[in-house]
Amino acid sequence: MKTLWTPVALLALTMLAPQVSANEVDLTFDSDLTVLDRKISYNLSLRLAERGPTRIGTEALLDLTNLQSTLPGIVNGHALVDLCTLRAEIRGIDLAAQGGNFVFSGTLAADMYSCARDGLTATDRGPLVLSQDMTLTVTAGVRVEDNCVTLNLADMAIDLTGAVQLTDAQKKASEKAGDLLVAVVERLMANHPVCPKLPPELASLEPRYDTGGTTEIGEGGLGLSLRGSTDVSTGTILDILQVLQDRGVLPPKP
Amino acid sequence: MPPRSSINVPTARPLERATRARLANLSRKTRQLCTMAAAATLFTAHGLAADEVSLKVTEQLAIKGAPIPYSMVLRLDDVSPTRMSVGAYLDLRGFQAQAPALLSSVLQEDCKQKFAVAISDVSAKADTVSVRGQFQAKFFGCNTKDPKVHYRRFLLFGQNVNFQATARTVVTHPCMRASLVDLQLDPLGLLGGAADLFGLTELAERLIVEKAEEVLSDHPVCPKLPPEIASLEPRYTSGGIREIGAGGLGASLSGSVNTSAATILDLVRVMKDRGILGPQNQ
Repeated sequence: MKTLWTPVALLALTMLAPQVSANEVDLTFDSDLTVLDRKISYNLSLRLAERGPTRIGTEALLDLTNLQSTLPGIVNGHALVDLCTLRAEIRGIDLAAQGGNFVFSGTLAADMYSCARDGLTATDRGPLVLSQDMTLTVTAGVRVEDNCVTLNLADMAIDLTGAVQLTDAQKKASEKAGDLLVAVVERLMANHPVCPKLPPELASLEPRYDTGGTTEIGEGGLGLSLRGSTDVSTGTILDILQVLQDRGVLPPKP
Repeated sequence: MPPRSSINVPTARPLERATRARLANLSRKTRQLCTMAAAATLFTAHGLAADEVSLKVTEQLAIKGAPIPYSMVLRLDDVSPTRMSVGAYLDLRGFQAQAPALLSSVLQEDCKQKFAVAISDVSAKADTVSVRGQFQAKFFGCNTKDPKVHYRRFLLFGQNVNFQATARTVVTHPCMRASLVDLQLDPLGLLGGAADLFGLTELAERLIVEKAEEVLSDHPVCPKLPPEIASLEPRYTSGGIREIGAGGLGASLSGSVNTSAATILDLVRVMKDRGILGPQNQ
């Protein structure tokens, strides 16, 4: 993780550094991502810089501090898992950046049941085996793929808070619950890629992002930075001219 | 301190791998579909992916201090990913209509004589422009050596000759300049004996050529791009007079434009400054 962190830190520094005389354009856009059908807005800052005669470098910084502060309220009380063997309800969650990774830590109120077989639904539940609070710490790495940022599970630790002597059945149920949680969290992450999009006016400048990582905004603020480039062509110029003409900046067509 | 048991769950379990792969695959496909659909909407909604952009601008020629508007159609074409051609098509018919008044002038005058040209019409023929007019010579009686016109007494004799001058243009970036290629005096115009006596034919030719060269070299046509897209820095390499309809005066220039990353950033900056990218970026 150290090796990832260093370029990320450098990138963060470059983005915070005052603008130098290089040919650059800084832009900022409001964007949003959806969590549990709720749109959470975030700010997308872009820096386009000349990297060569035919290449424009793009640095994107996603300010996720809003997500960081609103996510706990949105997911609180939401059932993370509700299957036959396990119902786990979120009771508080905290989101932070740590060493280039995202760290979600939260408490789950878990009820574990015995079931005839795996994969049955909540209505098929047998007797309650264990009712237990769990502390869940999920560490997720950042991967850039298809111009989207996907979180991938790097580590997950589950603590059974306040558990006394567990019976064999309870231990088995806990392990099963742990497996289920790993699968659920991985699926959640895979299904929630963050894909920063340029506004339609700049669609033809859509960069290809190569690298990315978490970055700290202010004091402990969660941010995501991406770096990529756009190969420029005459088509790009014509597209921009077209937009300028459509918006009345340039005279109309003859 | 309550005793706590702890389970550390390894991230990959062989049993779930297949399921996870399936899920991941599914979500990637959905994402690709969504991206494609989004891109399709964008491109149709904004008419992007253009391979040609044309615009019509109005510019001015300044002749004798009077601004004469003319229109210009600029056309930018995608030739290859790294080459873009530019064509400028100028409609100079407004100038053409005013040309007789603008170009008719006295060429040389003193107490004893006055030479003038009266232009009757200017027209384009293929890639040349021809100017038809009359050279007018007047000789006066004069009772002093002082060249001032007000010492003039009476008209001794006057002679007119029709002429036709033809000019062609060359493009020397960033302007187009015309130069005289032919001058013909109407052979029936000047009365043979008298004209030769005064060397009038040669004089008329010399004065017309001098005047034409002066007017033409003082008035290059230098089409300009709107300031917003000046960074395209067109380089005009060829062009000339073009006939619009029958005899209408037009001109065209063609060349290529700058297609570098810097140009694009300049254009993005224009979008930003003009509020196209939202008020937050203005």
